[in-house]
Amino acid sequence: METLTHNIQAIPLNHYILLCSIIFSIGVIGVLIRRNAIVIFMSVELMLNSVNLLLTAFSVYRGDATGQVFVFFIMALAAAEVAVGLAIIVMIYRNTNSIDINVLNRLKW
Amino acid sequence: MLFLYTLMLINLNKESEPRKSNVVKIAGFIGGGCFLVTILAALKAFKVSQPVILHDPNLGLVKNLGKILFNEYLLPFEVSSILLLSAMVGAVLLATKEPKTT
Repeated sequence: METLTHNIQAIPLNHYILLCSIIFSIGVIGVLIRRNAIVIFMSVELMLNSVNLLLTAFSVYRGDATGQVFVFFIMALAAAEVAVGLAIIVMIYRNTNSIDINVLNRLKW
Repeated sequence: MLFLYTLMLINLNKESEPRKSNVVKIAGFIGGGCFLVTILAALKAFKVSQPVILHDPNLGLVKNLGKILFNEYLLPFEVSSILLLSAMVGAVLLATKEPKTT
């Protein structure tokens, strides 16, 4: 256990940024290539969580607890976004019997 | 929190999941890959990075976070409560539409 914590403390900052970039890119690709609306919401959630991880890493790196407080606000904002988004998805499903976002191109008329 | 619901829902209709065409898929991969490459190239500017060391061992404790959250960030906290309340009202308003209109 002591060696584990010692090893964790030796991780450089660049590795955190690398991991968060990869997770964020996975989220971006998921938004771009999937057509299921719920999966798109899950990808957006993945992007928000990667930013949360980066904020905590920088918070520990700088020794400042402000970043971890910001994570709370991001979580609250994500919860609000998911609530409204899921309500919109339910409404779309009720109207079109599908959660395929391709039917939403009718919005342009 | 959305992940659990999504995993519960996705397993049911995996076959009927809509698929995009290959062109859009390849374009999406190229776009996301370009984004990743851009960030990694910007990361090259940091030649050597110090390890992340927890200098103050009680930095992330609930006690200290609560003190900061309720002293410095009291106003954003209250504003976020209003945001959550309005989101809840909006979600209920959107989700429970009266059946005669549909």
